[in-house]
Amino acid sequence: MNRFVRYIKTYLILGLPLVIACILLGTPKTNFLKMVQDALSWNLMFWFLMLILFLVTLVVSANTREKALTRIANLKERDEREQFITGKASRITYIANLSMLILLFFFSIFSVGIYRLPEGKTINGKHHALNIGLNYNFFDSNKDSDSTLVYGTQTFALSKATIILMLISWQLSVFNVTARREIGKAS
Amino acid sequence: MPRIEGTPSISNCIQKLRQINGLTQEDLAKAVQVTRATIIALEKGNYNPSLELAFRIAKFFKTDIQKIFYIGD
Repeated sequence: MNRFVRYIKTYLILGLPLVIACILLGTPKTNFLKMVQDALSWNLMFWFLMLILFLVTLVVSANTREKALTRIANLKERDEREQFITGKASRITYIANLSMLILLFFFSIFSVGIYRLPEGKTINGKHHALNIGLNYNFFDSNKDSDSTLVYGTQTFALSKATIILMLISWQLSVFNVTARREIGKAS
Repeated sequence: MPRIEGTPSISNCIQKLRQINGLTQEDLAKAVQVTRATIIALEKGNYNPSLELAFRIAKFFKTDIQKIFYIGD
């Protein structure tokens, strides 16, 4: 598994210039360039497939996550003091993230609108009405109703509120599972 | 390690022992397998080590933990 992930990672890094070249090539004019683009397009397809696989592995495999993301997250744990600092910083980040996600979730389901009332429908001489509402949809509503798309991932695109809710659940569950596991190890 | 409010602070004489032995912070850090920043933090009293590290330091200086770490200012 680890070796496989390592191969994917190496391929993603080494194949990136070819992906960029394919995108930059645009619509080729000569036959030679068309041939090159054909080859690059196959690479592009394979590269994206590997990227999806890698991103899924990141979520599923804790080991891969650890190796790939500690550098990006700038986690330094060379000794116990740095581990302690990381723990403290993680705690603050966790709480801060959670508060931000809850705020974003609230804003994604909360709506405020000020409407101008039509003539003759004024209420107590007032021409405007305030509408405050809460609305939650699991899937994102398809705005482009005229499209002839039969199937696409956007058909089942999750709404912003759902994504935020999933992130909140993910954070809480990962924390609690990890904490329980560590308690189990210690007892 | 964090200090719980109301508990006495733990002081140490690591700096003194290090200087007596003619060691640099880097030397001591390598010997007890921590970073130099940790030695600096220990000497300043900004960080209380784990029991494991305290034992390693005591073992390195060939003395008892109580002679290096003590409760006080």
